[in-house]
Amino acid sequence: MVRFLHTADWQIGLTRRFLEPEAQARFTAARADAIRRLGRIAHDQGCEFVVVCGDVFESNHLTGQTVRRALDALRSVPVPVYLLPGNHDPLDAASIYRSELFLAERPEHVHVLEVAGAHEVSPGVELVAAPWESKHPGRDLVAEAVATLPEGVAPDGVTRVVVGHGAVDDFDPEWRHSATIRTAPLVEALDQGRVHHVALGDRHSHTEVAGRGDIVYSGTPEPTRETEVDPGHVLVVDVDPSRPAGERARVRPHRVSTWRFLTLDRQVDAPADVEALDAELGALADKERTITFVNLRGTLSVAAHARLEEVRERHRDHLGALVERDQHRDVAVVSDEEVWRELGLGGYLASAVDQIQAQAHDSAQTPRDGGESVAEDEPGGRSAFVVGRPDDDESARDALSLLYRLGRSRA
Amino acid sequence: MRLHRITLRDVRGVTERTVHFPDSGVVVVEGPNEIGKSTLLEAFDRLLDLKATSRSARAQALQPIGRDVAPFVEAEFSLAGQRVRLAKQWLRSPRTELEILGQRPEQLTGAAAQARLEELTAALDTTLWEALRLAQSDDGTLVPLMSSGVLQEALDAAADAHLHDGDGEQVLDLVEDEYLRYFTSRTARPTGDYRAAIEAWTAAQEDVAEAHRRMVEAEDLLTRQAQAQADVQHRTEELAVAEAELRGARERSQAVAELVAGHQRATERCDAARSMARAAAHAQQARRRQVDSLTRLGATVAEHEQEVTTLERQAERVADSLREAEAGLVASEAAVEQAEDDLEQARRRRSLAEATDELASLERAVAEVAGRVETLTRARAAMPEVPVSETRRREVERLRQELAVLEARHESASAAVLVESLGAPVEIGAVDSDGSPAPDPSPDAAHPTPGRSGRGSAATLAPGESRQVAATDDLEIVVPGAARVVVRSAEAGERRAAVAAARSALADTVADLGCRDADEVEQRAASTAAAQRALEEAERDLAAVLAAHDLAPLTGAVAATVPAALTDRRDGLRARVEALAADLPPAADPAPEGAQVAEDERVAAALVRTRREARRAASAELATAGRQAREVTTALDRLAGQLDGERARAEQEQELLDQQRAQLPDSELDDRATEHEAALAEAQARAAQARQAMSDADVEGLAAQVRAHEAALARLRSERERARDHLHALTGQVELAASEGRRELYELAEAGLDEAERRLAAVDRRARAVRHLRGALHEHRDSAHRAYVRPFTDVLERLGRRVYGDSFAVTVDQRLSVQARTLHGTTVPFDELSGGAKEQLGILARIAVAHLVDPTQGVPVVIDDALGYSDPQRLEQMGGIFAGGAGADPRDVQVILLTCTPDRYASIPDAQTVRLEAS
Repeated sequence: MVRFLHTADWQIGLTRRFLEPEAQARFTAARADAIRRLGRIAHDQGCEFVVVCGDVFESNHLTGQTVRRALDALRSVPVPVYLLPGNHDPLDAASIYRSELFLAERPEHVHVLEVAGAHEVSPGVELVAAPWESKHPGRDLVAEAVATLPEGVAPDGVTRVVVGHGAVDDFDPEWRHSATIRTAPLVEALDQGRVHHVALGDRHSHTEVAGRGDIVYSGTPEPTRETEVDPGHVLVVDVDPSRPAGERARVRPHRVSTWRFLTLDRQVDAPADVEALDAELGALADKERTITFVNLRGTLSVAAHARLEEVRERHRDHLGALVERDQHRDVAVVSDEEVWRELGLGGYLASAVDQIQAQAHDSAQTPRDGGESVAEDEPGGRSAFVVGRPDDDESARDALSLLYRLGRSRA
Repeated sequence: MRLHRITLRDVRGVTERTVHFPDSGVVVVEGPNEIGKSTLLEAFDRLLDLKATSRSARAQALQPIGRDVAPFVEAEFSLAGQRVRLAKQWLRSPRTELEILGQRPEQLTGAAAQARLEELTAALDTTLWEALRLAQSDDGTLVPLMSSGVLQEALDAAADAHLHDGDGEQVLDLVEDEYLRYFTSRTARPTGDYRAAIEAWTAAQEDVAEAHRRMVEAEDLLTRQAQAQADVQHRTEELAVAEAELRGARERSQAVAELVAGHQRATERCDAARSMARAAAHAQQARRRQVDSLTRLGATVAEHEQEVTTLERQAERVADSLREAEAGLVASEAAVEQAEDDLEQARRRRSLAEATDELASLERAVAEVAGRVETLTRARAAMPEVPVSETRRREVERLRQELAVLEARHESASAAVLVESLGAPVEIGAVDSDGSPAPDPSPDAAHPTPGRSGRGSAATLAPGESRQVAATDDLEIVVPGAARVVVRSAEAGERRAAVAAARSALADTVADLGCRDADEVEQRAASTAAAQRALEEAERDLAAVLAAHDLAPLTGAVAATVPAALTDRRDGLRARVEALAADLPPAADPAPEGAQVAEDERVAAALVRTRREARRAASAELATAGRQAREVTTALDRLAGQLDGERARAEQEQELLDQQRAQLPDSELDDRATEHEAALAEAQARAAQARQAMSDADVEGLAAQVRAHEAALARLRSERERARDHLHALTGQVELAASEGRRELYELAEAGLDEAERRLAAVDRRARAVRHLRGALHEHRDSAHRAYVRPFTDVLERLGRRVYGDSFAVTVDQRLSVQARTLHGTTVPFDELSGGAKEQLGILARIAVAHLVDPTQGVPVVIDDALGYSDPQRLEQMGGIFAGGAGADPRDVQVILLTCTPDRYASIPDAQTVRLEAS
């Protein structure tokens, strides 16, 4: 039996635009720390080695600082580490793994699985690697790697673990990606005993493929986006080739993440709702490492809206990030005469308020579209921000809040 | 504000003056020009706005001209519900006093007073205070009044605009403050944080664009590198194919190489056979030539031997001829010698004969010369002692004739005297002038001139004789004892002198010649000429003789002898004749004749020539014979030598041939040549076959294929190398770009942009909010303001109608400026109104404003010397307005009218008048 630690998709060098620079720095540091943590787990769990199934780096085009910090973290891992080039860090001419820096500063126990096929990492233990040599290989690399093995069942005393990266056809049935991994041949190889376990990377959530415990995505150790289902784990895997197919692998996830993504879809129609939101946000643990997407809907009075603004600004400072996306914000503001009367506003001020209020309600007059569907790495892809847009419902709501605030400050 | 009292002391032209104003109603302050009406209000202004400590130009302006005194102004007025007394003194001992009168009195001085004053004046609506004053120079236009808070308040109330419900202005101020945090006031451009956020966002956008460009560049490089890699791969495959093709071509070419080698061998064998055949043929030919040569040599030897025999015989004959010729020559030479000897003797004889003849001739010549010399000598001797030359003779002749002529002329000129002796002798003689008898003057008396009857000489005439005598001299005729007659001639003297001179000259010349008279001269001249001729003849003859013997003519003394040259020659010749005669043998014959001698010599000479000719012939014959002998001998020697060589060579050749034949007989040599010829033909046939085989195999084509494949391979290799270089270059660039972390930098730039955008969005929201709010508030306030225009217009028209009648109407803009006036249905723009009308409207507008505002907050209306342009009727009507007459607003307005023409405001009811006197 062999025990090793399966991880993937470290995405070192990942930046998240919604993060403030300070938060981004911590977010980045957390990814390096995750390596140290998983190193300790490997040690504690008696793993023989660590295998990273691709996307160790977010890109091949990273700064030396980022790469060096990753190498520093890797140095702390007490067992051999095998890195598989994935689609984000393929073995192309720009590959980090072939850069002078990496070659010069790579710790000795860190190995790159550069060649497709079996690598004996310890007596009787073979990693069947399927490295990406480019971003668009156009073929099933895992199938190719397996095809390099001798026909038939693995010899006695040999444990074979396939190390691959990419989407499996279970999740990509239409094979939108040309490099989609076909599951059926893998299942066959596993059942045949030609290989004994398949460790995959690319999917950031810990996932078993085809309902099998021997084809597994470890997921990313630190979450990268709010849509990930179950990120933040590394897997300690025991493989015993002597057992029957389907029972050879035992996989135990260990949580290593320190950050989390949180999405709050909330209805706010009354001051109480705003207070509730305030309380909910205030009660969050590890706020500084929580990235919160707040999607609000509802109708608020001017006063409650002003309060909401205040709440929002306050929690923004506490949280790792508080993200509100335009297309998810749908809070209308209503004002009543009473508010203004309390503030002592009359005369033409009152008539002006009436007009603004009417504009604030008319949210349909300036439809705004979200830009999330556009790829993020296209500079033209972001929704074009327009400075000083003409007055609209939003500016009307904000104007009312402002008037409210000024009125109160006067009072 | 309301004025109660103003006191001036030492202010401009005013020494001391106090004016009291009633609390309400109209006060007319009247006084003449320059009395200080305007100074009154100006001093009040300074009191409010100029610190006592000020030494500014405005303070200086208060001082009376030429007086160094301290201007002092004191005033009592109501402001903001307080009654105040304020006094200031400037420039000298400046002081400020402020007293608040009333329920909570205050009394302050100095800085505290000034501070309190500033508090109070803050409540003064200065805009209104300025606006409600109309000075002489103004055209009546009302300055914009919208900034007058007092007026706005009044208009709000009048318009029921609810502008000031609550605390609207304060809200508006707050909004304005907030607005100015984001926008500039005038141009509404982003400023402050807003602007900074926009700039940061713009910069971040640029950063992103640049980072993106660099990232795309890196990705593009990677793509190109991948393409280059594929290209290299592709070329490597092509190269493998090309290498395989080259191998195939080379193998095919190798197979053909065997044919080429076969051809090469056949060619080489063919060449060898050709060499052998040629050698055999050469050997055969050499043998043949050898035999031929020997044969020819034998024939030559035989021939030459024959020739030698012939030559030897010929030599003998030639030797005989030679000997004969030699003998002939000897004989002919002896004959020649004999003849020559004979000739010599003949010649000598001839010479002797000739010399003898010449000697004889010479002897004769000597004799001739001697004769001639003798002749010459005689001729010389015949020459007179005094010779008379022909010339001299002619000279004497001439003189004698001249004398004759003179005498004849004298005679003819002299008187002819015929003397006849009649019986007695008559003597006739000449006398001199002195009467003495004249000598015979005429030397030629001896030969008197023929025909002359004689003259002078005394003659005696016998009786009966007569004579005619020419009286050439004074003629004396004497009859002895009878008479003496003297005939004197007047000019006869001169003529006589001339005759005498001529006679003398003749006589001198004759004497010179040693002659006695002219006749002797004649004679001697004749003998001289004869002697001369004989001499010349003798000389000529001598010269001729000498010339005949080639001697020069003799002259002088020499001529008296025979020349030595001639005699020497004769002597020489004599010696020679003797010598010649001595050499000759004694002649048998007596000396032959000269002609014979010559003939003998000629015959001897001819014989010599003949014999010499014979000798030459003999000599030539001998030469010919000698030459022939030599020729024959030479030819014989040569031929004999040649023959010896030929015989030796023939022997050698024969010996060599014999040896060679012993080794290789001729027949065998011929057989061998034939064999080799056949072998060559065979080898050539084989080579032709091999060539054909090679040609059939297209060796060249295959070689060309190999070369083509090699070239293609080289090209492909070169291309692959280039592709590799390109790939390496690109790989280097890719690695370099990758090492820069462009993706991460781009992501960071994007994050930076997001951050900038978030910050901007936040500020933008706030900015837009305040812009929106401000816009709405201003819009509503302005619409409220528009409502003020109505009450103001109402009041103004109400007042106006009292002056102009019911047709009066005005157009007022939002700034409360009168734009046009309508009267009797005619609307005239304000600017086009007359000065008076403008002034009246200005006053009406001010009164209207005064009526609108709160009395406690309002200010006095001050009209300074206005209405000068208005006619009396209008003045009267205006007066009613000032007084706030019937229908006027009940509000209490303080109106101060300053004028220098009191009558102008006489129509104002209840007006109080203050008269200013010079102080």
